[in-house]
Amino acid sequence: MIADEIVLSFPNITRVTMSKVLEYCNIHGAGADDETRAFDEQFVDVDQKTLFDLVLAAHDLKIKMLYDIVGERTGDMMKGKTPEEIRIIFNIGENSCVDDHPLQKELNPWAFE
Amino acid sequence: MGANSSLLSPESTDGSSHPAKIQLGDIPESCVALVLSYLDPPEICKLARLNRAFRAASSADFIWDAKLPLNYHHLVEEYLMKNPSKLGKNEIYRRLTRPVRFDAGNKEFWLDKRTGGLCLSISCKALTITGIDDRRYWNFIPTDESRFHTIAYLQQIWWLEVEGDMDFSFPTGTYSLLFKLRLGRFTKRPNRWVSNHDDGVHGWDIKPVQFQLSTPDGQHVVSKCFLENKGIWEYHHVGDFVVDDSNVSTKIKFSLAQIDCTHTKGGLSVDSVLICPCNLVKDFKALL
Repeated sequence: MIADEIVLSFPNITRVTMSKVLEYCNIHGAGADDETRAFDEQFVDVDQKTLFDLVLAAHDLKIKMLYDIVGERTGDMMKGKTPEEIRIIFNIGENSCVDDHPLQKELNPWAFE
Repeated sequence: MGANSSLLSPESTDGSSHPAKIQLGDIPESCVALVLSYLDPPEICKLARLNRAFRAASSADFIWDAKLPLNYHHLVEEYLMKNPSKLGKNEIYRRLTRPVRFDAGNKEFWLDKRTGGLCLSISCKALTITGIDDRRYWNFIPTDESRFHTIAYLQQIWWLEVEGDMDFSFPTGTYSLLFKLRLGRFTKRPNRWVSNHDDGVHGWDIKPVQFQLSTPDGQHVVSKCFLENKGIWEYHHVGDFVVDDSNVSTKIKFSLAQIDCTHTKGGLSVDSVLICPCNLVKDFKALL
């Protein structure tokens, strides 16, 4: 028997995140204009967790425009913050592997001279 | 991407969620690289220290390719090394942020770390100075105050004329040209008293000096100003020029002159000429 509907499964994307992605796609379906730009501004004005979820979802679903705007917004939120502040804000753990890069503390000294 | 349920699982019905810390492997490197690409290079390098994923992502070629000037390949091949294709773009960017000397060591260029803008400095030794061979008028003086370790000092002259030209493949953009000058033989220091009578500074308040710059495509700026403020280095802004095409080299001529022969002038130190993107002028001035 041939199924008359197709089921797509994205175990890594929550229902909440997916509905936001679909909302974005619906608004942008007709192309970009002032309204979509206004929508984008408020769309990315969300908490860090939601933003990060959207980055990962857009990456998985390969939606470039969404990927770009949420990626840019995340980048903006990182500007001017210390690595420790970013760890806290974005819930990012340290790499505790034994063979951690030996020059961890001396990475890219040129940028700080 | 691994299915880590801690962060990405459906939220519990009561709305609470306490996601475990994201561990390495949950953040696709390309995601991190995309986010980093919106930061400036010093910030990217700072965040590269966050964890291994960030470190790996920070060296993604596409990030640095966007930060490099369009003609970076030409700049590297011409002034740094042949066949730079073995180097990552991160490494190329790093190398170009260090001053690259050329023209017998009398000129150097570098990329501004933060913006990637190209800056270029021309030593007084590469300038054409009328009377430079006559020690009654001009002398080269070694000093650590100059990036080229030499300044040209004018004792006294009727005809002041300092000219130069630069033929360089500037990346597209708008650039400012500035002369780094100081009235007086020495820089004022808080604990040093310099006699106002012996410093040889004279003639600058009678007539203004004239600065000029021009390009073959017809850009031409003339400006005049009175030199003031003894004992401190200053960048004197000559003017701006626009580069439309980084694939073609821009030949720019510039000069400083005061050729009114009714009076002598003297006590002027000439360090160098600076060319930089016009949005960086205030940063250079702040360094003095």
